[in-house]
Amino acid sequence: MLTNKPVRYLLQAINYSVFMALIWYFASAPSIRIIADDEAVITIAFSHAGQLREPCRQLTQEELNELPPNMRKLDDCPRERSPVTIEALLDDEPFYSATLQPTGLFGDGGVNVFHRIKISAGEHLLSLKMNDSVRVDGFNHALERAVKIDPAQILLVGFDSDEGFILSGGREKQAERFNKIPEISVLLIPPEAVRRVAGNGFRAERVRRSGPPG
Amino acid sequence: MLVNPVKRAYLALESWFNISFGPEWNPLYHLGTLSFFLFWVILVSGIYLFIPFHGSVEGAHASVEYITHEQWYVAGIMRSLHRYASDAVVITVLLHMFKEFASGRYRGFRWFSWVTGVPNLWMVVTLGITGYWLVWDELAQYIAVGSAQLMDALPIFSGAMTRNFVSGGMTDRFFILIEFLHLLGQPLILVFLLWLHVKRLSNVEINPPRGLAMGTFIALLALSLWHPAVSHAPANLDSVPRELRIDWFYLNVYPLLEYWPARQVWMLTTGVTLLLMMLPWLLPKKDGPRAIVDLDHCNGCGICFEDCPFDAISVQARTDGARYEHEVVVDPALCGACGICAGSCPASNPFRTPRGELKTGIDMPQLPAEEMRRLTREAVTTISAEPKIIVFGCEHGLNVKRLDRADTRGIRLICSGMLPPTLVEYALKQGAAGVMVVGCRENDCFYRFGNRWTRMRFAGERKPILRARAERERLLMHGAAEPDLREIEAELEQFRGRLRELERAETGVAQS
Repeated sequence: MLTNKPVRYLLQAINYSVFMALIWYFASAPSIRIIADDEAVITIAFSHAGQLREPCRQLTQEELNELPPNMRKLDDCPRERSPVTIEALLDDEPFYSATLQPTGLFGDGGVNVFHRIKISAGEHLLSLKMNDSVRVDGFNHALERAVKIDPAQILLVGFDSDEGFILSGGREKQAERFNKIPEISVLLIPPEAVRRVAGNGFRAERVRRSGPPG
Repeated sequence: MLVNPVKRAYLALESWFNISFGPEWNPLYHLGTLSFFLFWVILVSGIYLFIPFHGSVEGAHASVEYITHEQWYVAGIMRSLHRYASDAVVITVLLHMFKEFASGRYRGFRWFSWVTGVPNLWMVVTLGITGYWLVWDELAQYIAVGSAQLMDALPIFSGAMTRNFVSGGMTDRFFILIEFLHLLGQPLILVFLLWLHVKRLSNVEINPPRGLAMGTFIALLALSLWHPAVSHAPANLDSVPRELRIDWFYLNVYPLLEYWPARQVWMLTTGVTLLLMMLPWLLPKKDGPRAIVDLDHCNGCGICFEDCPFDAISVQARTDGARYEHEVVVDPALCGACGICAGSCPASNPFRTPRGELKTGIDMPQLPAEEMRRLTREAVTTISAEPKIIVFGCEHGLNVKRLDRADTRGIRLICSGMLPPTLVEYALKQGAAGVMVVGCRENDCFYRFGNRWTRMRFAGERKPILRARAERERLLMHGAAEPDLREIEAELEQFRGRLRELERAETGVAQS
């Protein structure tokens, strides 16, 4: 141990400086690059419950009579839901494909979909397909749309049982930009209109929408 | 062996700090208390920051900007202290782990403190993560999405979390939940874990030496003034931040998510944690036999209870019908087999039974008091040169057998604290000219208090004391590790010189 106090304090100051330098540097460096300058992100994020595996069955009068009066309901609906199959393609190249089993002990819960992908910014053709019923062959929901996305922007893909796939990004600002893209085509496909064909395995009627797309 | 190079590295670092700080202020001897001190800095600065902070999605970033730039002279400094003290805690906790590992203080009877210590590090890290979240800037957004990805990989969330951090998904309610976690939930869990961590220790210290605390605080303050903590741009869930200056002390796991799926990140972090927690069994070391109480020689005075560093001894009602009110009981699961209790027992006095076997109230089977007395007597009689010096040393410091010369004999004890002060008198009475006690390095006793209690006993500040009639000038105490052989030899040489002078003076007085 040093007995010379000034030298001792000087050495202590050096030690403290090294300690603080370590903190200063690693508290904010080295920085990390999350995304390249010309890249953007597509995020598929939604929660959705697949359709029931079996359709509801109407109870017969005899069956209803056997039930206590307070438990008599006309339909008997099995709880188990269908798995949800999703396929997403960008410029005809698949980038996400998954079959998600329903959650819950009895398989009666929804599925949570989350997938992120970095893409090059600019214009792309985005195709989304989903099957949420074991009673339907092929896909019973689909959307195909030309999208334009700025660098660092996130294009969010959601889903609503009534509206189908929903694209959004940058809230109103992003929606405005979509509006400026000419010739946007949206596929709104009722389950009965979907049928399998040879080749790409999927075909649907193309529906043109008037007014700003959703 | 893996441990030896690690231990050598640690001892080299320790030596450097001993040169610049001295044993009293050596930060390596106070890493636990230094971490506590940093927690105080974090707590006080955090309470201050909570006043102007606005806990909402819209208001958080603006309020942090106000703290940083508008009221930089108080709140800004507080913010920087809060951040840098948090970073410093990670360093002190990691160093604390490294030190305990390097010096072998993680296995055997110490397994509990080690195993309960590892989750503390994770608790500190998660506390820091929620702290960064509250700023709600681009970095917070990055943490939020990454954390949600990690949570979603667990079966309980199954993908529901991440959707909170897409456009429009973050709500004030979620923000308040994070605020609650950071301000109350996590600190409370941390306090509980810290309590668990030190549960098997007695005389727990939570304050570092004042000089070390002041030095650390001044250094943190200087850093806060020189390089104040700042935020990134406000979070925007519609876009991805391009480049981030991340805090590697807390956020080092997140960049992995760019390359690995969240489950693999979990596997890595859980694997490292389990590996650390299992170290006491992966690199095991058997402790010696535990202390044994001999009720025939124990009057239940409780001095050993006061001195036990590991809370292994309790004082209970007498069970053997003897006239004493109490007896002491050793819990073998807690006992470190250090022998400090044997050194503290007044019945270990070697003068008690000059002819018969020395039996004491609490003793170590591997080195009983009788054996210590026999070794001392034998060492004095086998020394062939003057001045006769007996060196008592411990098993974890310098091997005192390396000091054996014609005039010097080393006796290894389990810990310097197991040396009854009366044994020093006994050695002198048997004909030794001097007694040297070499424990672990000062303030770094393997068994926590061996050096300190022995020094206090010699100074008459702690029972059992070294009696006044023992000649203090014939006694030398020093701490040393294996690399300190030269230093100890130099001390010993000076001690020889002093003893010779004493002999000459006494011979002169006798002749006159």
